[in-house]
Amino acid sequence: MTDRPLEGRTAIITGAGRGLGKSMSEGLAAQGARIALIDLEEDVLAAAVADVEAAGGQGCALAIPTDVTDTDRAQAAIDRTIEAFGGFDILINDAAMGPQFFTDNFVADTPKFWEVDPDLWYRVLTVNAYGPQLMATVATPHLVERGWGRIINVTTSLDTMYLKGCGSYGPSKAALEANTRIMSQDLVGTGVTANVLIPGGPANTRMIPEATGFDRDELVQPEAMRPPVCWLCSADADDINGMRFIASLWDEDLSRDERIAMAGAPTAWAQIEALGQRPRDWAQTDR
Amino acid sequence: MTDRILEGKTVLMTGAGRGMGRMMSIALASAGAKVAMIDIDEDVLAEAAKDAENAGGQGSVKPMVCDVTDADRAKATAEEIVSTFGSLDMLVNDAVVGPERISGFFVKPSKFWELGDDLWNAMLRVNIFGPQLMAKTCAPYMIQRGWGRIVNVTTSLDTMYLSGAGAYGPTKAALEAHTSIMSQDLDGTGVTANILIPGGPVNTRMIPDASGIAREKLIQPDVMQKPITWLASDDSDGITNMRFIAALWDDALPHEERIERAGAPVAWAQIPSKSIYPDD
Repeated sequence: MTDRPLEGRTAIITGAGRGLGKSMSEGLAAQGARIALIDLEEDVLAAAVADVEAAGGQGCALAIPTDVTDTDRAQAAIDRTIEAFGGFDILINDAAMGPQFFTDNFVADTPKFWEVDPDLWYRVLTVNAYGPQLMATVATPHLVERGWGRIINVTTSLDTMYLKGCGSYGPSKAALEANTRIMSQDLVGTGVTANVLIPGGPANTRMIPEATGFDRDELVQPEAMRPPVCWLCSADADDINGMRFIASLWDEDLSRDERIAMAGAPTAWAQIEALGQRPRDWAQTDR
Repeated sequence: MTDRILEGKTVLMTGAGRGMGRMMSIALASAGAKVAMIDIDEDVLAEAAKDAENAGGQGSVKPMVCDVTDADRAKATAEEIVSTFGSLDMLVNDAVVGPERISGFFVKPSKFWELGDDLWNAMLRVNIFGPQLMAKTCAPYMIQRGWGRIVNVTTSLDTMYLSGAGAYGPTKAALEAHTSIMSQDLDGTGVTANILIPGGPVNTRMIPDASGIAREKLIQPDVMQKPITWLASDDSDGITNMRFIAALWDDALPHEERIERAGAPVAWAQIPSKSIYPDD
């Protein structure tokens, strides 16, 4: 029981069929959490559910095929999770359309912004930025009502947000990063927190196609997400809100404070002091 | 105007009917540019075009009703501009769905889960997809001539995560990042991509009267005029991937000091948080 500290918790994880989402699902299940796995493709989901159950035990995983940009289906996914598991505590927004939709090789072959199909550019923006907003919108009232919860958004490294050749991938992640900081402000005092977790570099998933030429063993492995996501979902992270964590810098051997200092930072670009000028009377208000 | 330094240049200004887009159109026209003023609100646009034409002279302005998210309309608009004025040298993406559309903005802020999906999506579509679509449509004209400007209006870095403003901040964060991508893609073409922001809340419809802030204490939209004129001019050749804060722009300073005071790299490039690549 001691190593199943997430017993009694339920997580909804989008993009759970593959890559980081699947790995996080397995990590959380192994610590006792039940998982509602959301993805588009039913066969991919079915395979992932089998792996997650292998990690967490029979019946700990539920497949919910859903498009995270579809309002009705997003709400139905929430309802289904509550019906199956009696509620949920955690939402992880991992579903994303990656650079591979724009180029096989974002290192050497980078389409210019004027060469990209507008419909694809918009679709990626919608899935990566609006999808998490929609899922958080339908999930949050339940979390707030329970008085405890986690929203964890997977964005990307700050410089990948303006990586050329990847269409709207980077900009969509910049939007999600900013929105996470908004979520964390709006959730203050509710017992629910919102944070960002990123791998810290290109990860060994389908998002980094073979054509990029990277040695796959040297990429960040999806398993790197497990220790920090399990910690974020534990009671030990109750006071952590509005932060971003880099999984590949997360070191469980360090003390809690050292770990946070090493892998954590404020969400977005809050360290930069070049902020807006405010009229004096606004600055004096409590806003 | 004394100095018509933009003579021979044609600018496409989106969101030209009101606020900052209107003031920038007036400034560019008075400096000698031809200005195609784009908006979706025909009545407001007609009025704004009259103001700009008064400043720039007969025939300097062309008001055009166009939805910046409509690919076919954008293409037709760009073609019409080129056939009317002979070139398309600069795009200013100022059109935006602002937070004033959210009821209670600035007075009783909504939580993120209380916002309407439709408005959130409208912001996403107009504020970030719109500038991409317009830039995609206009860039080839500029590249062909070997000179051009794309200027995107985003917002202060901390407004990008302002609670209660819906997708407004996040869409501006996306446009900020995308401006850097534009700049990188345009490297070597003679076309530049930069950001111009006012630097704080501006006296436009975006800040409702109910905010209680005295309107004269807000940044006035005409602060955009001098820096946009400079960005449109040959004086800013070679300046790319930068963001400029209009409220800090001081024409009285020497060129380099002006840039130093009001300029910064696009986005958050100052933060030492690099993606870790296998080769590192």
